Amino acid sequence: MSTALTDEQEEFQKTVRSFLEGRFKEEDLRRLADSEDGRDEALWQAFTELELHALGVPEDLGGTGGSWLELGLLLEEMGAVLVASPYFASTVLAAHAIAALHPEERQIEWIGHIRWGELVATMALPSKNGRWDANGSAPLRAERAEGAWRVSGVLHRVIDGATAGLILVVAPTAEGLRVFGVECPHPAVVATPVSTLDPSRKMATVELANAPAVALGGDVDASATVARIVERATIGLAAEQLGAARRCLEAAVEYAKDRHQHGQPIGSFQAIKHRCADIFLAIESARSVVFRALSLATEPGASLTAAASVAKASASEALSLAAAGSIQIHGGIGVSWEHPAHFYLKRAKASEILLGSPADHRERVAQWLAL
Amino acid sequence: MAGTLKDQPLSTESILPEDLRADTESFRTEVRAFLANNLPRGWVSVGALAEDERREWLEGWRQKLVEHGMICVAWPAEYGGQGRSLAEHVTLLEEFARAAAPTSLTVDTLALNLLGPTILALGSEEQKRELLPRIVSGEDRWCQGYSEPGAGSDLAGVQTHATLRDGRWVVNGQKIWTTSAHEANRMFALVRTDRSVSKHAGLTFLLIPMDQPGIEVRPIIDLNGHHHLNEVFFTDAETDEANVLGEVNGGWRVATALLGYERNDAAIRDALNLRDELRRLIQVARDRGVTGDPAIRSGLAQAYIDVEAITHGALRGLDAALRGRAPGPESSLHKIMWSEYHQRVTTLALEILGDDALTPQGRPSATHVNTDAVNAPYSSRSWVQTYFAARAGTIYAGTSEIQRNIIAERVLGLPRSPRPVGP
Repeated sequence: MSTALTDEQEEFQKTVRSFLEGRFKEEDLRRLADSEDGRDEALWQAFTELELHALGVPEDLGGTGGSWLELGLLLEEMGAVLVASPYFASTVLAAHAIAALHPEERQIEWIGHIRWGELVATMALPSKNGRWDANGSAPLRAERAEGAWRVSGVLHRVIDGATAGLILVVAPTAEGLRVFGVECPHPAVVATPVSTLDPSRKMATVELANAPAVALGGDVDASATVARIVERATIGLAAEQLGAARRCLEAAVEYAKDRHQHGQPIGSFQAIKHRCADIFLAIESARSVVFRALSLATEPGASLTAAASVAKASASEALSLAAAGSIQIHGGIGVSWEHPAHFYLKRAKASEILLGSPADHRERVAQWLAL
Repeated sequence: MAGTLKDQPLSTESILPEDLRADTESFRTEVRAFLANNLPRGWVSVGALAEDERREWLEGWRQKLVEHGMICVAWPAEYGGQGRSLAEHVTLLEEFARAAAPTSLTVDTLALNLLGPTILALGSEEQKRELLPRIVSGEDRWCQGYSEPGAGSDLAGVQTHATLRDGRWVVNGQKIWTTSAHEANRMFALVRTDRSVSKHAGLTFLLIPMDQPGIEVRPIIDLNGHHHLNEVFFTDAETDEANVLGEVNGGWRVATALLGYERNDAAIRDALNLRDELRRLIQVARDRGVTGDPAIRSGLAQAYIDVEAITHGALRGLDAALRGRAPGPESSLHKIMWSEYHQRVTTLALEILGDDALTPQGRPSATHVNTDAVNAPYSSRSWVQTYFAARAGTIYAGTSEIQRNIIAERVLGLPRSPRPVGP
């Protein structure tokens, strides 16, 4: 295990970067931000052809193979251009969750469908009292009758919940927490899109009324597996934040070189330079711990609790600093609708809250340090 | 899976990636055996020694390091080193940190970390053969003559000048903030040798013996009341014509290269020390029963996050070095990260100490810079002194402001700042 990238991984990152920069432009972001489903069909197909769906999920479980490091590199590049796509929900959350739950044949087929772009899946994230809670579960009721499970309840803020053909939910049962797959559309499932702070990531309210559900992971408590699923998704989100932060800094630096005031490029003034240097420091600090966490995520036995929280807290703060700093350096144009900087600030704020704020993760680290 | 080694908070297990760790296992065993056989029975740390015993013990310890080939291990054997790999050098740092054993003396720091690597890269064959073994043996102790009263952040503005007269450089002027000048027998200095050209072009990197009548060293007492800084006055001081590192008037290039050498291994050593220091601070917080305070919980958690970033940043630098990449601007990143972190964490330490900080008691801190001695037992005086010493970290070896300029200009490619118009 090394934190360093292999030559192959560096090549993969370059390929993905140039593909996405060429293929996903600002006008695509604006179009998808305004759309209801937040999905570019042609780009989704291109992901299928490039075998990017279900990346990091072993081939014998229906996935594409590859490691969390490669998935992290892809997410970093997707974050850099703010690709709006159900990819995070489908691959990072759902495909990896199914793979972690000892899938049976039918569930391996789900992963296969995700891999070939035929199925958009998602997972409702654990929360408690309207706040993220790693150990929480949605207020769902799961009942078994004649061997078949049905779940009822309301799920809030399900990422890409309105377009998903499969929603994974976590519900308490007599055996403890269990994960269920709910296939949609179904008359017992009503998914309503909701307006989101970050227009490039869609969410829905999902009402389940005795919806037929498939239990995953056998008749045992899945708390530890769910925690690990969420920790890995958290690391994936941190990688995405890293890419968005990098792009904010690049944009700020480009602008600071071009924009002249007092007869000088504003980037020659120390007030601007030091702000850029501070953002760079935050990004590089986050990069060190995000890649550490990604490489741990590739190891089956390694505990991710601390690494995931360290990565998420660092990446959230780096992106918030970068997105806000970029707007400030751009001046007036930075607060206009016309300039894309606001999309990054919206992504920054939403991703900071999603899967736990820096304060939440510091508290998790404090608990892990046995304070 | 709970309870794996990687899941131990701030564990003293190796931070090296597993593939590198495997390559260095036999050397690790050698280092452990050396430490077990040579450290005093019941060894705690330098910080636990009485203040008046420290110097003698440290000198004796350094002698043992030389005898057993446990110093400068990554330098080539023909120049007094052991020809070991960088990963083996890091292994030694790890094992010494774990045992709370010093790897050198404070006065060695500049020669081992900066001058030595620079001589290896830019020195003549004769200089390598003459100077490096004397650094290893401890015969030569070097101080660094850079700053002057009129040249701090504007380092290229140094005015101390040297003129060639009958095969000798004659040096006149003044250096300041010179760490360990009172203990060193040699100085490497940046001096002006040509006043007719632009300020960067007229500098030479000169090696000067300290024990001569033309040199006077006067102490500067720091904010802790300690003496490790000095002023150095040159009045027709002399050094041999051959005592130039690099080219005459090529000193700026040498000085710039040298700044880059404070890098991967130093970053790893800093990371190990900071991990140890945070481990001790967490214990102090527990002992004082303040871990339920939300601000302190959050502060310690953030300190852990920062130390992880410093540790894995250092490992990234090590990886770059192992791939043969020249040290780059990551040394500026590391410098800002550790020195500013250290101010935050020592501020947090005084918060944790509470009223104890008002009346410092116990042993003084064992070192003047960086962290307190590894594994040192609790002393409120030491934490308070380390808090004050941490103020210097963002000033020496390039201020945080200068490091940010370096990042902005050399990494991000922002234009140079407007310079005042003048002669």
